[in-house]
Amino acid sequence: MGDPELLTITVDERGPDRAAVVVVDGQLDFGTTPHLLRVATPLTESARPVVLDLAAVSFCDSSGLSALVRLHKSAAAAGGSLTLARPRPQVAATIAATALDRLFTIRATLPGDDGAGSR
Amino acid sequence: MSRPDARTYDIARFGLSDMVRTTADLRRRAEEAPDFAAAVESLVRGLRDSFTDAAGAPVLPLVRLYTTRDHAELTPRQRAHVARHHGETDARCLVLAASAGELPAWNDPGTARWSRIIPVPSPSTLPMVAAMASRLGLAIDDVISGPLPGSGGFGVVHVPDALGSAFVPDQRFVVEHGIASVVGFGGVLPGGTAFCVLLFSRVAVPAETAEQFQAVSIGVRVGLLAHFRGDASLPAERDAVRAHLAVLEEASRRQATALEQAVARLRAEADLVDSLQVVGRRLTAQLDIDTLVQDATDAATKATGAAFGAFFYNLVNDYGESYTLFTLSGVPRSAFERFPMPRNTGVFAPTFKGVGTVRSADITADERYGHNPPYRGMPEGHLPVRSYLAVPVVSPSSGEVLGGFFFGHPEPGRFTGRHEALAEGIAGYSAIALDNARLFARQRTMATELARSMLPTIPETPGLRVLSRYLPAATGAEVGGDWFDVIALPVGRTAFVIGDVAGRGVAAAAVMGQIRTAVRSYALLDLPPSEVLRHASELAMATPDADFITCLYAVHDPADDTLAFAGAGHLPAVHLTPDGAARLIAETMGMPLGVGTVFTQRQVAFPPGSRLVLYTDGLVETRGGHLPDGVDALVRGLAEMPPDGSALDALIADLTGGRHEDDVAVLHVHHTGTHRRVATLPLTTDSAAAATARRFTAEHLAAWGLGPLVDRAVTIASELVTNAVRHTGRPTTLRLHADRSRLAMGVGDRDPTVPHPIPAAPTDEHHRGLHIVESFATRWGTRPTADGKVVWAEILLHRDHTLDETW
Repeated sequence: MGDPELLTITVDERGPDRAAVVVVDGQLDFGTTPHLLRVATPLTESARPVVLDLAAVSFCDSSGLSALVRLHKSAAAAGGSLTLARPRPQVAATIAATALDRLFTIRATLPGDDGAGSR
Repeated sequence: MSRPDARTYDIARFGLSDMVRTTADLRRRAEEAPDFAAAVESLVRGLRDSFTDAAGAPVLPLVRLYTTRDHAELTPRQRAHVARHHGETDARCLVLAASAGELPAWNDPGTARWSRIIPVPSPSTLPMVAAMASRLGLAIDDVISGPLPGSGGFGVVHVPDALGSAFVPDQRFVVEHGIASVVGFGGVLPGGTAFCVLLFSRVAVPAETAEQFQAVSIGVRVGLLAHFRGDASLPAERDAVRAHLAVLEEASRRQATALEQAVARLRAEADLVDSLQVVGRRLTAQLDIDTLVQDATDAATKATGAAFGAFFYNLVNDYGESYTLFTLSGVPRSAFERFPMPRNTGVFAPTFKGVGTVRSADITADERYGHNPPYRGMPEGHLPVRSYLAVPVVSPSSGEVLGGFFFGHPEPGRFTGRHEALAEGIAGYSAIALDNARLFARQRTMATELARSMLPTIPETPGLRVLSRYLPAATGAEVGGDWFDVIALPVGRTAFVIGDVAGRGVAAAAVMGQIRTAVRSYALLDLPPSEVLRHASELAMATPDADFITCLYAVHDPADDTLAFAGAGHLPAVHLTPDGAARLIAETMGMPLGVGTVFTQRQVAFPPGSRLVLYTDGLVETRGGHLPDGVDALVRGLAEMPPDGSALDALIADLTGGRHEDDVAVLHVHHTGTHRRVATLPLTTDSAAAATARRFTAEHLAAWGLGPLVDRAVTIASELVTNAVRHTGRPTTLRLHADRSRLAMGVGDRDPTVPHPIPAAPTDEHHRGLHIVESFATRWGTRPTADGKVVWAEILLHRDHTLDETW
């Protein structure tokens, strides 16, 4: 499922330290999160470090957050990690409003980017 | 023997009329007796029976009558007695002729006392008789041996205190029988016989009573004369009558003078009471404090004859601070302007502390005067005061000192006890009047305050021009039970309330306050009109004194420009369409609050240009008393007047004629239709529903100049639509509504289940939607609808959000 107009996902498997960088572009809501989970869950279950690049996510609601929590839990269960990178203000505000900033590892930059993509 | 007069007299209050009656009675008793012996017997009994104490109990334990006898007239036994006790003598002797006593032994002629014959006078044994003899003007020799003149002389001997008196030698008798006073009276009969009556009284006999016995003595003498036939008795009788007349004349003159004085005294008392009553009536009818205190000061100054008078009184202002004012009478205010208020100095303290009246013939000579700095007496330039009178004014309800009257006169000794009584009387009335006035003012202030505090602040309702009027009844000071309310509900909806609690006064206002608050609370729960009234009615049933309350409740929803309403026994509202046609709505829709349990609800279209007018009966019932006429007149008047309500006051004045006996409350709502933005999106259940809602929201906010709100608004819209789609499966519409003060979003669905935020643990995958709404919205809530609910959220606008210049 998923509306390609609303959400595009690109995976770059060659990040630093075997990390998989998942570039998410579009909006995260109950209509698009199944698409994200389908693509990202195998990565988190592989125990590799997974970085979600949210720089192109223009919107995320509680359904999107729900998907992010699920990915976080699957990564933790597999012994891997999930990092949220470069969230936009709307997304960051939504995460903060639900106190999930205490759960997620959030970075303002991509690994190896050294502040170039700071928000 | 007849008993012409069985009347008894209080010996301590033996007046002129008593004396006349007793005298006549005794005279008749003596005259009607068959002989002298029977006459004297009847006399002593009559005397004994006539006198009582104040309680009516007999007061004379013993009455005795003695007569003189020439030695030759004595019986041999009596002569032997005289010889035995007084030696050989042929002196005239006193013989006990009659006795009326409590103990029978005292009246028994066989006892020793009856045989005790006393030569006259014998001061050692009967000093009273001796004293009386001298009162009779008799020389001692005449009494002893000479012919008694029979001049008609008479005399009274009064022993006010028998105990220890030398005139009453038998002190044992005095002590044993509690004798307080002794009165003796007597006279001389023709042929040289003298008689003497002794009255022993248990009650102290006052001198005024004793004096009356002069006349009694003459009556007795005249009565006894009837038993002396012969040449000598006629002139004696004439003399006796003349003497009686003289005594009566003298007594009458004395009594008349006393009477006149008493009448004058009573008249003065009555005048005092009268003038006090006039002043009192005037004062206690006065509720205006300023008029009252001036009136009291003038009246008291006049009544006391003071050169000037002042009334210092304490008042408490709205902040609870006490302050003192004064009024003056007899002098211009400028006479005291330079001086400070009187303080608790030695002279003033008794008045200001409410201790009591101070009256001084010369206050400058008073020991309390002149001790207090800085003036040590009256300040320089003070009006001269010698005579001084000051009376405190003390509240009869609280005992608090309300103030004090002060009167002055430059000459000493001007104020009498009567002036004092008058001033105290006026002070008493002033206290009552001041109490009344203060209570009235407090009540009126409270009622006004209450009414004012009950009036709502009309919230700004964009797109609606709301005019409200509340006119307290033109008559009376009591607050009524009318109210109105305008309540801003979520999503730009506005509730209009009008109501009327039966009755007036603080009680009605208190009930009104409770019901008004209840209606307001239910309104803010966003209940439909019929439910608001049902809940309010149930509350009224459980509220004491809230027996009959009418109410009309209407809600305007700008989303579809409808007006939903329900009524509880209230007068119909007037609804005017944009083309000016007027009709009544909400007519007889339900029973009053506190009575009804079911309320129906209706709805009318309320597009821009529409008007709604709510009112209470005070507006329409004054004209001729016929309610429908008043309502018709209101409907006509509203249809003819400009829709902006500018002529509302004129219409109210026209309808009530300014003579409304009940309160008038009016709400005039005009839908102006400007300053509003509304957009509605039908919702689908597909996966793009939330995205569509976000796009719709973002586009409209941008168009409305609310770009800065887009992020928050689309997040909220997304969450609400997501919930409707995922949890109910039957979403209806997303409604956006913006006015000058708020952006509101509402998502409708067909599921009545009310959502509740559930706390989410950090690793929870769900339950965050409403938390996000709560974080991003100013407020949110749900509202039941006919077939489900609306979940709504609002963001209040700041001025800088309103970027659209047309707003």
